[in-house]
Amino acid sequence: MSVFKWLTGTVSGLMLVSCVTINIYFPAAAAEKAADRIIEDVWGPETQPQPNAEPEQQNSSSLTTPQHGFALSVLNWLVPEVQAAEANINIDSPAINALKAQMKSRHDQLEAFYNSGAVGLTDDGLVTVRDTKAVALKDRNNLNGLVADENKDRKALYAEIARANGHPEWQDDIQNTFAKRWISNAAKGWWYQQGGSWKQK
Amino acid sequence: MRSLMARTALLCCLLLWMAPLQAIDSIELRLGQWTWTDYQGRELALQLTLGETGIELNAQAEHITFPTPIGETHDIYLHCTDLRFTEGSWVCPSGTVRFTHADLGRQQLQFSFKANTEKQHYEIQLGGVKLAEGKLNVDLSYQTSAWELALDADDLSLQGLTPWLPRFLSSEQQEALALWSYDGRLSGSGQLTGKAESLKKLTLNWQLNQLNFSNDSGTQVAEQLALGGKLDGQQQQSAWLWQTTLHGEQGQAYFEPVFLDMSAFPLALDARGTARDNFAEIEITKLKVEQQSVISMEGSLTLKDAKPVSMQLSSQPAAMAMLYEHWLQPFTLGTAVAKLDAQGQVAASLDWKPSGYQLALDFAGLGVKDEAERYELQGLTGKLGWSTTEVPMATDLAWEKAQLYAISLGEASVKARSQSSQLLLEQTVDLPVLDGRLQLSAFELQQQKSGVNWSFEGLLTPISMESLSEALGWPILHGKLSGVIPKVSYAEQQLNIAGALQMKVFDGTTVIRNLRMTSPFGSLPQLYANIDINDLDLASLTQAFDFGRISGRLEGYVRDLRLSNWKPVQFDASLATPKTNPGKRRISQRAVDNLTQIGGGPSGMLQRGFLQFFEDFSYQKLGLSCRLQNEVCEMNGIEDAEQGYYIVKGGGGLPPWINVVGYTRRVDWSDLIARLIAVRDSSGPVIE
Repeated sequence: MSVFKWLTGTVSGLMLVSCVTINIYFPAAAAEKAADRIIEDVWGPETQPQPNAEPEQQNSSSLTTPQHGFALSVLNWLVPEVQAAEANINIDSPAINALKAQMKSRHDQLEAFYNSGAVGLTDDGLVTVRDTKAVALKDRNNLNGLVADENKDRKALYAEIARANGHPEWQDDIQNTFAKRWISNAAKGWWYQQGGSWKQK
Repeated sequence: MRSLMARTALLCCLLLWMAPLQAIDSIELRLGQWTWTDYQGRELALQLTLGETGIELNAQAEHITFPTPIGETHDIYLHCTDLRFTEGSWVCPSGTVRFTHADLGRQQLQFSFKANTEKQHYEIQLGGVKLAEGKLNVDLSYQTSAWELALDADDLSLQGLTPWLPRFLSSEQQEALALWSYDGRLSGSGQLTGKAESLKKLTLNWQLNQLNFSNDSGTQVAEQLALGGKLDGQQQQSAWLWQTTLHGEQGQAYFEPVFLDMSAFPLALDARGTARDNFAEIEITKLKVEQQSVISMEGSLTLKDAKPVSMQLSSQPAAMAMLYEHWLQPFTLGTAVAKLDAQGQVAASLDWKPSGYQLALDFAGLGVKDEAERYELQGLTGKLGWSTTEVPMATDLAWEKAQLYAISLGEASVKARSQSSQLLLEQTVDLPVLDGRLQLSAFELQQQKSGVNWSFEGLLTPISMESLSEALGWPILHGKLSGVIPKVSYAEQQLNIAGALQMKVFDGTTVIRNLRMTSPFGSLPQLYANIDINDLDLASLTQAFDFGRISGRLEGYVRDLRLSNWKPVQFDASLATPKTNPGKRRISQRAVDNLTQIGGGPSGMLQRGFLQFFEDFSYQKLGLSCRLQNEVCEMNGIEDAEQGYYIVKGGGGLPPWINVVGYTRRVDWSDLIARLIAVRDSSGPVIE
């Protein structure tokens, strides 16, 4: 009996020891694609090099006929079957879309400030007031407010993409990915931060 | 100052020396080199000519070095037509002097003087000093070490004064000033009275026009300001008594984040007080600041070594709309209170010391409404007290109505006490919530370094589901919502609700637990909850949603629910008929049809075969589960079928039986929602 106990104990002990940690690596390429799509939506296509084509959705459609007796199968979910679960970053959710729409409409106001250099892109995926000398005194708080709101939305966006994809811990990686993509998608003449100093595209 | 006196002394000295020469018509004197105390001269020529009323004096020098701050002057020419000696005084009622100075440039001044060496009484007037693109008149009177100086400056340029500043400022002050760019025009007059080297009394009237300044980073900027002011001071024993006014009526300034538009909202300051210990201790006994149409404050302030050690301030009732726009909103950018419509009045009083402060705010008919319509508070009247010290401050507030997202809250009052950065409720608050009430007790609020956190205990007396569903824009549900909430707490952007909310709907109970919210007023509010659903009556449920008719009971759960921006984005939900308590289970043709439609199948299928003659069917069990993650719903039914799963399994009563089988396990959530909405909006199939 005690031998049996010992045996089971050892086996479970071995099982514990041999417990393998599975790392889910951050899908960097997919995140970049996702970031580019969002940036295109927010900034408009002119600053975007190549929009990624949407994979065609397959509509499987079959209706089963009554099979036997009075039993009947009528329902077939014609809803498109979702693509196989590859390493992917999904960015289509009502929350993300709401943020995107908000950022897009704010961009109409921010664009002039990017062009004039009053606002620049930081290397952590946010924006900041860079040079206000050309901005009228009465408009400075309006600009500060735009920047504060934009950063609030950006932070919420990075967190939401990480959460929506089931990995809240990816938030920093998402933010870093976006930081790079905002800068590389920026239009000519815009300012961005690199290694603590400002550069112009 | 000293130099002016010294100059007077020098002139007198020269004149005295000339006195015995009066009998001669004209005398000329030339000196190659000449030194006297701090003065040095070169190529000095002096000519005195006797006239009818006095002596005509002409003096020239190639170079004279005066003590600082005047320094070196060249090509000096001095002329006095009518130098006289009367009543023991040398008098020159009118003269001119020309010279070139490194900083002042070429100057031509009018002067007059009167000098009595015996009585040590000197008076000198200098007019038309060209200084910094403007003009300066100087009037000096000196008698046995007591002196009076009157200055009159007209339109001096601040830029032009810059070269003079190093003579008056320390190197630290100069470094600080070098970070600023500025220009402007200064005019004004001043009277200074003193004895020997100390100033006893002064009066200054000044006006700065077209003032522009900016620091390096552009965070402190002024454009086209017009500022004026007056400063009076006099020394009494060891202290200075002073009084000053300042007013700004034109231009704009920005001191991040505050924007001051002086043209639209003129600013005025009035202060008086004392200064002791060589200005190390400054007491402002009366301070009055007014920004027209915005705020008016009075108070007092004590500074030691340029640091405030105590301050009392109280404001007149101010219009909240103006106060918010000018002084509150700039500090709240990016927060939940950054965009408000404010109205009503507020008055504030503050008693501050480095160790802590007491603040009292008096509200009258205050209303704030979030522009994003997340919250609203109207008709707030009473006093809010906040103390970071041991001195308690009372709060007694009442409001007429409030709104939190879609939920309207009624009239309530709060009595509380604040002490040591805490606010404690003194009696239970009875807050109307829709048609029910929330009783709040044990409310506590603390201000900590990480931010504000608060908590309370609550009891929710029943709210009708009719009013709740109406407020939330749901189909009208019948029943009650109530709950015992041991603790609601908010800290670090997270709202936790312990305990449970219970909904009595459809003859069953639905219990919401582990409710919590993060960044409730942020860009994307997140709500998390677990919901248990027990013993719902399917007949009333389907009736309420106009879904056809299904009889039987329903139970299940929604676990790990997450709403992002109030929309479900994640959950693990399962709803099914219970294993026990079968009861009578029938499903109508229309319900089958609707289920089919939701699944994307065609409607009206049943009407095409002989099954159209049956209004409803008996079923054994039904159920559906959905695990939502990343916009995809992983679906399942109550039992596996060939290649799919049963959503409805026929059986139980008499045939005909009907099975509803789903085949697709992964469903796009937005498509599913669109289909649900289509079913809700359709009138359903017509059964003939």
